[in-house]
Amino acid sequence: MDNESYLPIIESLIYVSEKPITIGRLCEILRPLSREQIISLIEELKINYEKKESGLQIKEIAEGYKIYTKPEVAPWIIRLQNIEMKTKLTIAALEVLAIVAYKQPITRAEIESIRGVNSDKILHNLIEKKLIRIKERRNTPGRPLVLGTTREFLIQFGLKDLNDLPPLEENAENHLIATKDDRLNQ
Amino acid sequence: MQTSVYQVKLDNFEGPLDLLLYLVKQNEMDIYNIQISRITDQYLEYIKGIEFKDIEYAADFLVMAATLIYIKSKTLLPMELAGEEEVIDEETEQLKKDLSDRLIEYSKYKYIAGILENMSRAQMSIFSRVETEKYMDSNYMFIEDINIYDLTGILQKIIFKNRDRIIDNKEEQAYSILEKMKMITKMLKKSLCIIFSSLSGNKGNRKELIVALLAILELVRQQKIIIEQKSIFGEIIILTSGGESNGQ
Repeated sequence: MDNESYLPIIESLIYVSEKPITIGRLCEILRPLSREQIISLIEELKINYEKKESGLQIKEIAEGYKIYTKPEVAPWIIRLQNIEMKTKLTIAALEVLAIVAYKQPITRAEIESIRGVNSDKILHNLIEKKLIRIKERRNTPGRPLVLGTTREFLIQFGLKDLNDLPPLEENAENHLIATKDDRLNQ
Repeated sequence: MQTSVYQVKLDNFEGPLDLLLYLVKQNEMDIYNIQISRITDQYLEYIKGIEFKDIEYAADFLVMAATLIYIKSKTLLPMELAGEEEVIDEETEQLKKDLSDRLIEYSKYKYIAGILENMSRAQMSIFSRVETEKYMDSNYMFIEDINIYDLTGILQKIIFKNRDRIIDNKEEQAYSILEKMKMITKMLKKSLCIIFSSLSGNKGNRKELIVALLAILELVRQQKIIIEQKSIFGEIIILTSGGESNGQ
């Protein structure tokens, strides 16, 4: 079997997997194909999807691969499933999520000291939504619980892994300008 | 200062740092060199008229107000003079720097929050085969991802859901030593001896067993019964202590 003939197999494996299928899992199934071979085949598949007139795409997400529809077909899918877009997170919730994502593992108190405001309700909400979770207890006085993001977070934000997060801007002036603030006009 | 500035509702701000950040930008101040006096006045003006529905929320704003006023008061004090040169008050400078650092740190994440919002919006416009149903279900979770804290969280939910039933069970299981003692003496009037294991009920309920044991020990102390055990871990036999059962 030459490598090319693995293309439909890999495509099917990604298609049937409920959760993003990891490269490790693909290696197990496709032995003796090497990791590098599989990755290059997936890249080839990706290009094929981009080229052909397909409504689908292969996306690297949450440390795995998954087939998604392309964004341009979204209006029709919403019509088909008659679903409402998932409830958007509030700015406060996004702030907390951003802090947890970059500073994890982090305690509740540390989050509050960055935001300068009590964040209990928001944390509870984010845990309910499975975007963050309690990771462990820290071995410091009081043994506080520390929080981190979940795989679900990676999926909902379309991230390959945590390294895929946008870099934290170190220059404060830049994001001060970039952050739009139209509250004055409200 | 224009009054129109203060028509902005405080609800629009995520907290004291958010409000401060806004004021710094509005005044086009250098974030590394905040004009404390001006910012403090404006900050206080903002929080003056607001209704504090949420005490916690209000407290966070007031803590910041206190900090600002403290720094402002420091800056208003006359500088010490060392010879000809003015000595910059180090504590005040440190307080100002801490405030700038906090604002900068906060603004980083505020900026990221905006990016995250766009990312999630992009992700919401693509669909996979199963996720539309599955991910709508808030109880869905990757099995291999579960840790002890998830399990305790789930257990808490289960307990909360079934709280009525659980409380009922507790009431059922309340045993009193006094009642058990009465029961044993009553039983001894009917029969010559009782085997201890028969006292624990049929379910082998541990609590009931403990109460039974305590009841027996108490009865022995009161010299109302005699207990015998032929071998270690053997059956305990309870007998009436001769005279008393006849006499009383």
